[in-house]
Amino acid sequence: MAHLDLVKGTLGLLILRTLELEPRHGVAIADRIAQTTRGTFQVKAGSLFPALHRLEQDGAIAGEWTVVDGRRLKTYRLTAAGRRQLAAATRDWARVVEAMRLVLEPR
Amino acid sequence: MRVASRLSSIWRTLVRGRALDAELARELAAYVDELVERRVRAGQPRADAVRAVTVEMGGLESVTELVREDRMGRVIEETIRDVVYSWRGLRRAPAFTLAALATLALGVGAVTAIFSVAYALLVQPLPFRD
Repeated sequence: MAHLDLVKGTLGLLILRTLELEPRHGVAIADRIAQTTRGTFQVKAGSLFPALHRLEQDGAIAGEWTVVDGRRLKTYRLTAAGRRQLAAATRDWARVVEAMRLVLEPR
Repeated sequence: MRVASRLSSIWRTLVRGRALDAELARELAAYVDELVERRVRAGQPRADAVRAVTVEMGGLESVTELVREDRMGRVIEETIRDVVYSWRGLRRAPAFTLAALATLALGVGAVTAIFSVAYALLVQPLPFRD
């Protein structure tokens, strides 16, 4: 299991991407990230909730209390500003990956 | 509007801090419940499941602290950044800054002077014995 030590913003980007297609609540977001990364990123509460609340404070995601199966859950959805942030962060990330690839290419 | 959203986020953090904490507590409780349910459904006894989930997440208190610290940290960071930005802006426009400062100084000075006179004349008791 890899830790998200890479960049603090990485988890933010992961969350934004996860919420791109549909709104989810905390547990579902962590599940989806673990599922999509095939278990590489297991996001724990100590990372997940600060990241979620940071994004919410920035206005990138909006949290709403909804009832799911009789339980009250705080569901997050991506806002318009969040979509723009996701697009920008994805581009930045692609640039970083490309730069790393160039540096680490076999000599 | 950036100013409005900044002010409202500071408002939310400082004034509604306690309400936000209550909401976070509910959110964390729901999170713990769901993870406990999964373990119970998989056959783990409830008490063990609760303990395991609590240990895995590092404890409700510590997660709440992390969120709270993060929130406060952002407000302070943003405020400092705004102050620095404003300071730089003021330095780049010395004429405006001087005019604004002079106006403030004159205003405060005038009000203070008038108040002092009014206080001495109207409010301060006369120095004679009655």
